[in-house]
Amino acid sequence: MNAPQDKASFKPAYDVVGTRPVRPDGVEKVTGKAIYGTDHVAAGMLHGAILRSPHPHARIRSIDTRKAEALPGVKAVVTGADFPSLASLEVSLGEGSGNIAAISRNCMAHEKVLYDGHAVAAVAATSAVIAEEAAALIEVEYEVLPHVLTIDEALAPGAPVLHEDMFTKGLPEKPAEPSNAALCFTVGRGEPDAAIAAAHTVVSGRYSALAVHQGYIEPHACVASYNADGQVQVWASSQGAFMIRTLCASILGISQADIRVTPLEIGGGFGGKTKVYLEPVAIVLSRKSGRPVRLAMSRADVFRASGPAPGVVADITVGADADGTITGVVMEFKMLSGANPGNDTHSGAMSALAHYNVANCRVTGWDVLCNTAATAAYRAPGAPQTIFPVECCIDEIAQKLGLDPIDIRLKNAARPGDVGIMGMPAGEIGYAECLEAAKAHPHYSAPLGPNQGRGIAGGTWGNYGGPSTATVNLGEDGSVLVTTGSPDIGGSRAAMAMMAAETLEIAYEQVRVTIADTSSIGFSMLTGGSRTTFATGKAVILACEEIIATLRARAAVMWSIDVSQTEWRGGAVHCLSGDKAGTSLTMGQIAAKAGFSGGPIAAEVALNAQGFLPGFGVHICDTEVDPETGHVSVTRYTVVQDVGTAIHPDYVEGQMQGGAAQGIGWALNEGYVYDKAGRMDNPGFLDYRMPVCSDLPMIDTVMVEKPNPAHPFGVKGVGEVPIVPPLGAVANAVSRAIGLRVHDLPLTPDRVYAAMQGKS
Amino acid sequence: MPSPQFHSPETVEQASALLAANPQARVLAGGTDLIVQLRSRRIAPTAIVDIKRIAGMSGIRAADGGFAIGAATPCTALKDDKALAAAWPGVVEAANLIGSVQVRNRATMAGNLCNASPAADSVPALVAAGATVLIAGPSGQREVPAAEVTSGPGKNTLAHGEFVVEIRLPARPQGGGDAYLRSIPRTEMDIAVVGAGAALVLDASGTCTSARISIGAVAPTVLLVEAAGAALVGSKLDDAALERMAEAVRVAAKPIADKRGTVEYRIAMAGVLAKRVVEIARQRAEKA
Amino acid sequence: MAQVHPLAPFAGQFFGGAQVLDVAASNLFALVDALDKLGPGFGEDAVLRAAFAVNGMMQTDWSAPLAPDAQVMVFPRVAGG
Ligand SMILES: Cc1cc2nc3c(=O)[nH]c(=O)nc-3n(C[C@H](O)[C@H](O)[C@H](O)COP(=O)(O)OP(=O)(O)OC[C@H]3O[C@@H](n4cnc5c(N)ncnc54)[C@H](O)[C@@H]3O)c2cc1C
Repeated sequence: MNAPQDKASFKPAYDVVGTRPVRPDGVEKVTGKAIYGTDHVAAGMLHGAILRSPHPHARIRSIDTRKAEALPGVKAVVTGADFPSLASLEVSLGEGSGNIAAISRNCMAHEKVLYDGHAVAAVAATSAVIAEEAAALIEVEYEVLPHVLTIDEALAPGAPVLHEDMFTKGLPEKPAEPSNAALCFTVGRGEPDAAIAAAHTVVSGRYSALAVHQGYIEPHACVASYNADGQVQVWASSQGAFMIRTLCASILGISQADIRVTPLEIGGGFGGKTKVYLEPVAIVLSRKSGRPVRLAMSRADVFRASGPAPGVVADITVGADADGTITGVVMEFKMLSGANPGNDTHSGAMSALAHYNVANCRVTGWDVLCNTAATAAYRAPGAPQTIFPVECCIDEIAQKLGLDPIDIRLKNAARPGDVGIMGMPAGEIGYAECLEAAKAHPHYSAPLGPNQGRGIAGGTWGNYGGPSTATVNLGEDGSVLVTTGSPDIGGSRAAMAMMAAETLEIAYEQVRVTIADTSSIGFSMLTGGSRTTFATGKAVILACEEIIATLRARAAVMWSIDVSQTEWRGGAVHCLSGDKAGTSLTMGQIAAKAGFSGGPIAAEVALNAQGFLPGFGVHICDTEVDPETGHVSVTRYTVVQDVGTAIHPDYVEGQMQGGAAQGIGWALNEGYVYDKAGRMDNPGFLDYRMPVCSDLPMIDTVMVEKPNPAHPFGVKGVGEVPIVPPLGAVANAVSRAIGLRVHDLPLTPDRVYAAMQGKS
Repeated sequence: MPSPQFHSPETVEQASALLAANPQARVLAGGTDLIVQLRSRRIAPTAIVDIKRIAGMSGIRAADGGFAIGAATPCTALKDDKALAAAWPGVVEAANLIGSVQVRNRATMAGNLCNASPAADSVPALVAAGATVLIAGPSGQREVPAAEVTSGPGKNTLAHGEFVVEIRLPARPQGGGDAYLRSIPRTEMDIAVVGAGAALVLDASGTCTSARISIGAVAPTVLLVEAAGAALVGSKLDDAALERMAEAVRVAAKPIADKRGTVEYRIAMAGVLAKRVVEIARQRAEKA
Repeated sequence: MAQVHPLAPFAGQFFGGAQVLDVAASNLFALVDALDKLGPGFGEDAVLRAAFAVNGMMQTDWSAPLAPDAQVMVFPRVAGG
C-alpha cells in the first residue's frame, strides 16, 4: 500500500477537525495567568518541607522531631507514624493497579528508607524558610544497610534484599527465598531456538540503557486543606485528579466523597505525574495543623524521589532467512525498577515485537528492584527499552544481508489481520504505510556528508481507551460549554472543542472547555496512555449528539411536528414539514426558550471507550560523529507516524516532535548517575543532560492518517509512540557513521570515543 | 538560620571594610554561582557584599594601551566592546560560552575566576592571554597574574578583606591571536569536560615567537602549560610541532574521573582541543 | 462455549499451565466467575491485573455480551504514560 498522499482518500472532509485554531488555554498560559501547582494560594496557607533520606538503604531506628516542633512558626511535623499502617492492599487504577501500602510508604517511609531522597518526615510552618529550617532540625537515627544499584548487584547471591516479603512472581514454583526480582514474565510462540539454529543469518548482543527522567518542567506541587469535619480539598498539578482522589482516599482511609481534588494546570507529565508523592503528606500536615498546606518539590527532589523510567539490560538473538524474513527471536531483558515493583516488564515484553510478524519468538522480562527511586511511567512505558535492541538487530541483519533497512522492515511488518505475539489479529494499523512514507520522504534519499550516518528505526505502542465522563451544557444564548475531568497536557481542550464543534456543525469559537474538579464531574481515568482524545473525545462527541437530539425534540414541540420532520444542519434545527417548513431555529433561539420547555439543555455521557488501536512510527535520523572527540550531532531527523485522524495537527506534530526529542536525549546524553554512596550524582539539569534547543535539528514530521474505525473521527492515540523509535534510530545512525555498533546508551562522547579507539 | 545581611557599598574602601569586618561575608557580583550555592545550602554566609553599586566596577576602559575590565561587568557587555572583542576574541568568546544569555547578562569573569571552579570557562582564556587581576584590600591594592588567583577547587588566594576590582588585559601584540574551546556533551548550558586556551604571536614569516597554552578541567586549577607553548615557539606550527605541543598538554593534564568524564577521555581531549585552539589562534594571528 | 486462552502469568498461576479452557459464559463477568472456580483467586487478580481480548479486540467492558464461540485471550494489563 502506498502512503496516503491524498488525505481525502482516507477520511471525509471535515470543517473543523484537521484545522489549526488557537488553543483556548493559550492566552492564559503565555500571559502568565494560568494557575500551575505552586501558583495556588489558599487563605491561611502554611508552607511545607520534606526531610529526605541521605542513604539509599537504611532502617529508621528513631526520629526525634522535638527541636523542629519547638521552632517558632512550625505548626505541624509528621512522620510515617502519622499514616495508617496499611496491610498490603491493591487497588485498581484503571489501566493498572497499585499496592496501596507501597504507594503510601513511597510518600513517607515507614521503618526503612529504600533510596536516596526517600521522604522520612515533613513539616508545615508559616514560611518556606522556617519549614526548611525545621526539617533540618529533625534528628533521624539510621542503621545504614548495604545497598544495590545495578541489576548485577541486585541479583547477586546474598544481595541485600529491599523487601523481605517479596518473592519472584511468575516462576513455575514460588521461590524459597525472597529476592530483588519481583517478576518474571515470558511471552512467545513457535520454536524460536530451532528457528535461530536453522537461520541463514544470526545476530546477537547485549544492549543496555540507563534510567532516565521524564524531565517535565514543572516540579510536583499541591495544596491540601483538611477541615475539622473530615472534608478535604486538594489542588494539584497532575495527570489525573481522580487518580489523586482514589489514592489519597485509600492511603488515608477517607471516603472519596470527602476528597475534592481540583486539577491545576500541568507543566508536563509524560507519565511521571500518574502517581502521588506529596498529596497524602500535605493532607496529613493539614489535618495536624488545621490549616491548608502547600508542598512543592525542588528540581533535586524531582530527580531523587520521583519518576524515572527504568533502565534495562537485554540479551537478544535474532535469526533471519537470506531474504531478510525474521525467523526467530529470543530476548531476555531485565528492567531496573527501583524501590518498588515496576510496571514496565509486561508492557516491554508485549511491545518488543508488536510491530513485526515473527513466527518463532520468546521474550522474557524480569522486574528487578534496587535502591533507587521507584520508577514511574514514561511515554510508552517499557517499549523504548525493549524495542531498541530489536531495532538494532534488524539493522545489523540488513547490513549483513545487504538489504535496505526500510525494505527489511516492510518485509516483516505487522499488517491488518496479522496475528500478533499476544494472539490478537491486528486492526486497522498503519506500520507498513509509515515505512512506505519514510521511504518516499526526501530525507531518506538525501546524500550524506563525511562522518555521517543514517539510522532507521520503527516502534509501536498499544494506546488505551477506558472510562471517561463529559458533560455538554448550552448557555441561554446557545453557546456551548464542554466539561471533562481530563487534565489538558498536550492541547486536549482545543481537541475537545474541535470535536464538539465538528459534531454540532458550529464554529470552534462557540465552544468553551472546562476541566472540572472531582466533585463536579463523573469519573475519568487519568490523562495518560494516549487515551484522552480517543476516550474523553468520544464522550464529548456522544454528549453533543444527545444535545442535537434534545434540540430537535424541543424544536419539534415548538413547531408542533414530529421530531422525524426535523433535521440538524449547520448548527440549527430545520423544519421539514408543516406551516414552518423551510424555517430553522438556531441553538440560541431554542436555548433562550429552554425555560418554557424541558428546562436547561444539557447532556452527560459516561462511557468505557472500546476499540482503541495501537500507533506505529518510523524515524529517520542522520548523525555526524566527530572522529577526534566522539561527539554525536543529530543533523537531520524525520518522524513518520500513523496518527489515525489528526484532530489538531499542530498538537499531533508537537507530540511527535516532543517524543522524538525525549528519545534522542535518552539515546545521547541522559541518564541517572550515582556516586559510591548510592546518592544520585546528577540531580539537576546541568549534569542530567536533556537536550537543549541547540542540540536538536528541526524535527520534521509526517502524519500518516489511517483512521480508527472505532472512533467517530478516526482518532488513535499519538502521545507515546514517538519516544519509542529514537533509541534505535540514533544508535543505528551512529553505528553507520563510525562503522561499529555501540550497544550501550547513552552514546556520550567519551563512550563513542572509547569505542572508536577500540576499533582502530 | 537568620537571613544574611545585605550590603551595597559605594566605594572600594567601604566594600573592603565590610569584608574585613566579617570573615563570613561573601562578595556578590552576578550571583550566578553564589545564589545557587546559597540556595542549595552549600554555603551559609552571614553577610553579602554586593559590589555592583561601586563606581567604576562595571564597564571596560582603555588602560596602558590594553583594557581594564571592571569586576562587575557582565559577560554579554564584553561582546559589545568592539575594541576588546577585536583584540581578545578568545577571551570574549570564552566568557560568552558561560551558561545561557540570561546567565551571561549577570555573570562576570571576576566571579568566574574567584569562584575557582577548575572548569571555569573564561579562566583558561584569561590565563593564555596573560591577564592580570587588580585586587583591593584593607592594606591597599596589588596586581597578580590571573593564574595565581585560584589555588584549588573552590579556593582562591584572596586574603581576608580582599576582592577583585578589575581584570586587565594587555594590548594585543602585533601578529597576536587567541582562542578558547571547550568540550561538553551538549552544545550549550554545560560544564567543560576539558577546556583549552591559546594565545600566539607569529612574525611576518609565520614563525611562532610566543605561545601560551592553558587547559581547564583537567587539574585542581587551570594550568598554564609552559612546555606546550615552548613546543610551538620557533616553529611554523607544523604537524610535528603541534603534536609535541599536544603531548606536553597530555602530560600536564592530571584530571579526575567523575560524572563528567573519564581520566583517559579528558587527557585525550586536552590534546585534541589544544590543537584546535592553536589552529584558530593561528588564523587570527595571521589576520592581525 | 467460549474458548479462553490464558497467557502468562495467569496460565501458570491459576490454571496449571493450561493453554485453552472451554467456558460457558454470557459475558466477561460470568467468564471471570467461571474461571475463578477453575482457578481459585483468579477473580480477585483479574480485577487488578487482567486484560481481555474478545475475538481480537481489547474489551474492557465486562458486561458486553459474549458470543457462544468467542475466542478470549487473557493477559496482563499494562499502563501507559
Ligand atoms: C545555569 C548556569 C550555567 C552556568 N554555566 C557555566 C559555564 O558554562 N561555564 C562556567 O564557567 N560557569 C558556568 N556557570 C557558573 C557561573 O555562571 C560563572 O562562574 C560566573 O562567571 C560567575 O560569575 P558571577 O558574577 O555570577 O559570580 P558570583 O556568583 O557573584 O560569585 C561567584 C563567587 O566569586 C566570588 N566573587 C565574585 N566576584 C568577586 C570579586 N570581584 N572579588 C572576589 N570574589 C568575588 C563570590 O563571593 C562567589 O564566591 C553557570 C551557572 C549557572 C547558574
